[in-house]
Amino acid sequence: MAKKKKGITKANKTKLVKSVTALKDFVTKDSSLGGVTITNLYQVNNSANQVTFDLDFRNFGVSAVTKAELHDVNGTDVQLLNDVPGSLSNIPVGSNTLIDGKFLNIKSIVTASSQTPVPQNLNVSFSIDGGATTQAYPMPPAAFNNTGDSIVIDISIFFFHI
Amino acid sequence: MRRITILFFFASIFFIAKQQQSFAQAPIKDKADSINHNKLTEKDSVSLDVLNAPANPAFNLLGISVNAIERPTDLSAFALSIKNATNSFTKLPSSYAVELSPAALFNIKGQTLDNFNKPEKYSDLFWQTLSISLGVTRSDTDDKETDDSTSFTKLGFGLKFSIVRPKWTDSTRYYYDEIVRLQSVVLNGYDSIVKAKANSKTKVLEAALVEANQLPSDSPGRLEKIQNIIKQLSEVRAGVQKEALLLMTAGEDVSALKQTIEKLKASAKKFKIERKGGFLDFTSGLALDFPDNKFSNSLVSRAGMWLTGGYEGGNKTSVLGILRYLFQPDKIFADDNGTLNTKNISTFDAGARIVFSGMRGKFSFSAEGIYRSVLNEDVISPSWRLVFNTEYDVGFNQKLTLSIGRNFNGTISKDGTVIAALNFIKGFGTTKKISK
Repeated sequence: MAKKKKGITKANKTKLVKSVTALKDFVTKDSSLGGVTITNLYQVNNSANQVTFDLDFRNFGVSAVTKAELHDVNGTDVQLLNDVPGSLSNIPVGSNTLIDGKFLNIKSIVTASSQTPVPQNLNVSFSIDGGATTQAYPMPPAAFNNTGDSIVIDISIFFFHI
Repeated sequence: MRRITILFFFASIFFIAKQQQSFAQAPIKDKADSINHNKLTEKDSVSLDVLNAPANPAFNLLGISVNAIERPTDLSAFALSIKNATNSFTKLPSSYAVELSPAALFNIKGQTLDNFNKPEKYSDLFWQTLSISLGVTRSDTDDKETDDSTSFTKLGFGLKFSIVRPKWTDSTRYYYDEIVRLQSVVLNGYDSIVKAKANSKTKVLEAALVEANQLPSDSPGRLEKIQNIIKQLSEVRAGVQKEALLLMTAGEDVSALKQTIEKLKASAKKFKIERKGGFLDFTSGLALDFPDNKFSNSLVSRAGMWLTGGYEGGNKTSVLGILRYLFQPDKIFADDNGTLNTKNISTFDAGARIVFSGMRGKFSFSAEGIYRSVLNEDVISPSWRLVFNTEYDVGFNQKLTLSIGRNFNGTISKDGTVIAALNFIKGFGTTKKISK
């Protein structure tokens, strides 16, 4: 009975080499795209009050575009914002009772323009209001190292009650 | 007092070096974070190829501005102006000024690019245009820049903000819209990839969260369960983002998206603000003389405030005007021979300037005339100033200017009071000239 050949095959070796090269490029290349995520909770109450959010981009001279949706695991998603430029203030999400058990998904891209002093750290403040309390969510660290760099901010907030 | 000048120069250099160092440290400090937060970029050089002639309030009050009537500018965090008008450029310049934008330095709210064109409220415009300047020079009693025994050190402090600012030109608006369009393409590409990559684990965790939330409020361990699931979901989502960004920047199947990211970077780099329309700026400041070059002995030579307004024509003709009140407790700017009792003199200036620009803002020619009324008329006569100035942008942060004309304190034929200077201006700052 012929012994099964041990070790990696030529095809797998090629795949591995490609993966390592891609990973190397990823780490070493002066790429202009970075990202941060926020996954967290927001406590709603039993009222019909409107819950709103603020997303304020504080780096001087950046260009920002945002899209947002109310994600329902068991139903249809509702689009709240579609490619809106600039900082956002007092954006309605829905009433406390309506959004309980749903997700607020926000995705933004922030780009350092020629007006933005670089390098500098990403400076964005994000907060939700109208529920049990006003809550600010700290932004994970990221930096614009060169003019033209972009950072993708991916936020998902689950609305729950106590 | 010469030491103060040298100290000021080195302090400015140190400030720039410190800023660059602290900025440069950010990526190093965050190196560990880059793995967790998908920060992909590396340190690169800081581009500073944007220079304006020294036209800040500090230079203006010190009487060494090329033009007294300034065009409006878009600011950056920090700008250093150096003026050298002497000795065939063979020695260090004797006039320096720094200009700071608090909004850019401290990331004050409301400074996104879209808000630069139409600020939502006046406070946004105020912060975007507020600049604080500090200047130092060595000149004689006639404000002539010199380094001989008659010269002494002068310090100037200035503050400036806009009341009315021109809107962007159509081409600036076009380039901004292009940046937003490219951002939308990248964002939607990211969204599609993330949704496609959201694996069954994400969906299971989301469903588990909804289920835990539906448990009766008094169920034991309900809140801990929700918190535990959100923690797991956080890790999974971070991983998905990492994969998505890897695919977008290094993947072979999304070359169109990669090209869009490169286009976005190029567009953001090339973006320049040009404005066109009416404007009105408020400026105020104070100048101190140190007549015997001792820090303990200073005189307030000049303090004042002025409005500059008019029509900024972008890369074409601009017409500007000025109304200025100056109070000179210890000295009069229009003093002919220094023998008059010139304490507590108030003057009122009114003037205009016309600027012709060409070669896409590289070349400009301007004529400026200002009439000075002395409010204490019994002490000294009114005076006037007429200056012709031409500027040429030589290249990377270098500019040549030639000025000729008559200053407030005399005539062309008398006492050599003609203003005639070939300036070579070398800048380290990032003040953006509107009509660039």
